[in-house]
Amino acid sequence: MKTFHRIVRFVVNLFLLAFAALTLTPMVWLLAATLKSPDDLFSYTFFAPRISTFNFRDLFSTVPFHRYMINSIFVASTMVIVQLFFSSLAGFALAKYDFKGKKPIMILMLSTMMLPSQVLMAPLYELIYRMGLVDSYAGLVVPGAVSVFGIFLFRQSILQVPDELLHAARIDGCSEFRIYWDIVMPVSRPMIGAFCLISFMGTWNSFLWPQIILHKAERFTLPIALNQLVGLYQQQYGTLMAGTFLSVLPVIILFLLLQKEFIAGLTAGAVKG
Amino acid sequence: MRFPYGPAALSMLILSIISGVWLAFNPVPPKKATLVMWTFAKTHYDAYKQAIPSFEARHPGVKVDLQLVSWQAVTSRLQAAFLSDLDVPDLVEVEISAAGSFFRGPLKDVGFLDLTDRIKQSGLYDRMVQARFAPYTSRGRIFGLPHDVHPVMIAYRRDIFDQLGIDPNEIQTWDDFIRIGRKVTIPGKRYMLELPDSESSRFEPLLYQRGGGLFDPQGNCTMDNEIAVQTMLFYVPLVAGPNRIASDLGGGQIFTRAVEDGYFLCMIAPDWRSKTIEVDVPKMRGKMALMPLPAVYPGGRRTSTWGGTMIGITKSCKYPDLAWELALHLYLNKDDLAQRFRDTNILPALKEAWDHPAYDEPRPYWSNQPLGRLYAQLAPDVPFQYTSPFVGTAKGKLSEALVACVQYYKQNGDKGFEEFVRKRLKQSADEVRRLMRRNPY
Repeated sequence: MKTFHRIVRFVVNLFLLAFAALTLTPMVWLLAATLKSPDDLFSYTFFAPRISTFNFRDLFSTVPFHRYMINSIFVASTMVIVQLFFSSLAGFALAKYDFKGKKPIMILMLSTMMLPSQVLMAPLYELIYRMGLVDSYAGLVVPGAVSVFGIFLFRQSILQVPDELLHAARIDGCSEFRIYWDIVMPVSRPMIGAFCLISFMGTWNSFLWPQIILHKAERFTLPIALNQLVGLYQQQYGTLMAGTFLSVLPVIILFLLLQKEFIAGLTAGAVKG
Repeated sequence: MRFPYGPAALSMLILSIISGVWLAFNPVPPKKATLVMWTFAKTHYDAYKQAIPSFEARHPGVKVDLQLVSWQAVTSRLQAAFLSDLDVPDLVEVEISAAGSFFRGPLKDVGFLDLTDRIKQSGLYDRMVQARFAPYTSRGRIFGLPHDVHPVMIAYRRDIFDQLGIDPNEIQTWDDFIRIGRKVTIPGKRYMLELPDSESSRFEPLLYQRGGGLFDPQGNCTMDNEIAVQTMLFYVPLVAGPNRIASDLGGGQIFTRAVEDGYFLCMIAPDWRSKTIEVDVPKMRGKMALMPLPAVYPGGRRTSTWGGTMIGITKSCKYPDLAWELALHLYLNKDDLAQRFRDTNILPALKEAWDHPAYDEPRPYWSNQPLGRLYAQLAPDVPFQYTSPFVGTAKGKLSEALVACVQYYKQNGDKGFEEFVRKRLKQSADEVRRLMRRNPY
């Protein structure tokens, strides 16, 4: 029986290993391609016959890549913080307070998720223009400051927090905001972890809105900057690949650092304690 | 003391603060621009960046803000800007296939300044290749200065031609080309020409070569006229059926390998594509060469055109005269144009610029041929290419017709093919016309 279980585990692990290799292949291919010289870029071999840093040198010499990276980090992390605050606050209200119109508000908010974001682009652009936020970091962050998805996520998470805990805090003289800040939020840590990663990745990869709102190259985020390398008649494949590889690195690093939190957030409530 | 909200929130906070501080200490320099210009091509952007300081020096106090906007965004952002009258640049470079979409509606509502009088009075109309004004002309009014000519040649594997004993000088007409192509084509292994069977990008240059087009000078849809029918009857057997001599594998890595392997011997190559081939297939240096497009009939036109760019001045521009001067500065400086040609292989529309030695320089990649001279010799003969606000739709419908004709030919061969081509092209053209009828202008 033990031997049978070992064999099963071995087969399962083998399958998982093969699947992991399959999913990692594009990433490895991308890395391999970035280390090829222009002459070898389209060569038959998977790995370069000789390693070349030309693509990275070309990337850093043709565009201020470090600035684009910092722009992306700033916009994505700021967006996460802002979304985290507003979404959790709204989620808390919807989870723990009874008020008139709570259900319709919830339905209305969820129904906005069914609207394609492109539909809102024109009026949103006009609004941001009138606010004087075109071509600014604020113009990127403000329209996405509240995430309906985040509100729903936090509402579901905060519903698990026992009401008794909140009542005890009220008896101790806690204000409603302090209850949210000092009790509900620390308890919702796993969900914060999961939401941070999901929101960060969404903002990091955001393309359409930044493309519309940003004008000056100095404010470009990575997807927009990389898109500038895609010519109409000519592609700088090597440089583009180097840029793409560097642009996915922060997300991978972040995921590796926070994967415990991420998984805990997603599986919270999955097992009855 | 532990951060109570977890490492994720903490890391976000730290990242936000550190990057925010860095950005605060490295602010974007404020640009009080007199003129704002958009371009979609990085090569143009780099060249103009070099050229603008001398313009600013000639006009003290004038600041030009040059912005690189991706080519997909130019169209959408500019359309939105015109419609909302928000954030409209002063000068814009627009790609040829998108240009027509800006000439919709009454002339007074076109977002670009009518440059006709300026062009005619300055003599530019005669100094530039006149055919290149056509794509940027609507109802007789010119809205853009042409940046380029984009004459078309055939790029071929000279080394394989030599091995096979093919003399490119013997190829004078398409009949010659097809005859040789049938000899050297090995189905599945080697094809004489790279041509797609599912989209019209290379069908169009061959249509223009015959004097046809999607539209006539008045903007009427002509994609089902006799020339178009004859072009389709010529094109489809090249890419389908038992005697095909052409194939297409797409772009990027697969294109590179196909050229290196000799899967394609020839490619339709406007000037800009000759640079693409140089960049994407570097190993073929010295093994490639160019020859004129074969003529439809002996003594006929040996070139066509594919692609293009215009520069336009928007009606929102506060200083149209200054913007006009900037456009001339960027488009007429012979030395700048020569350097741009060296960087991009793109032949400028200004005829007198071709006297520069740069156009006679031998190019090692192209078997030491003087690439610039080859294209320049063909440039005066490029066909007219008329546009319409419906050019995008027409291109799509033409591709649909091409796919249908290819399918028919694969299944039925010559039997009833001509009748089918006429019917299918008419169907596509009628769909375009139906849409055009909705527009009273």
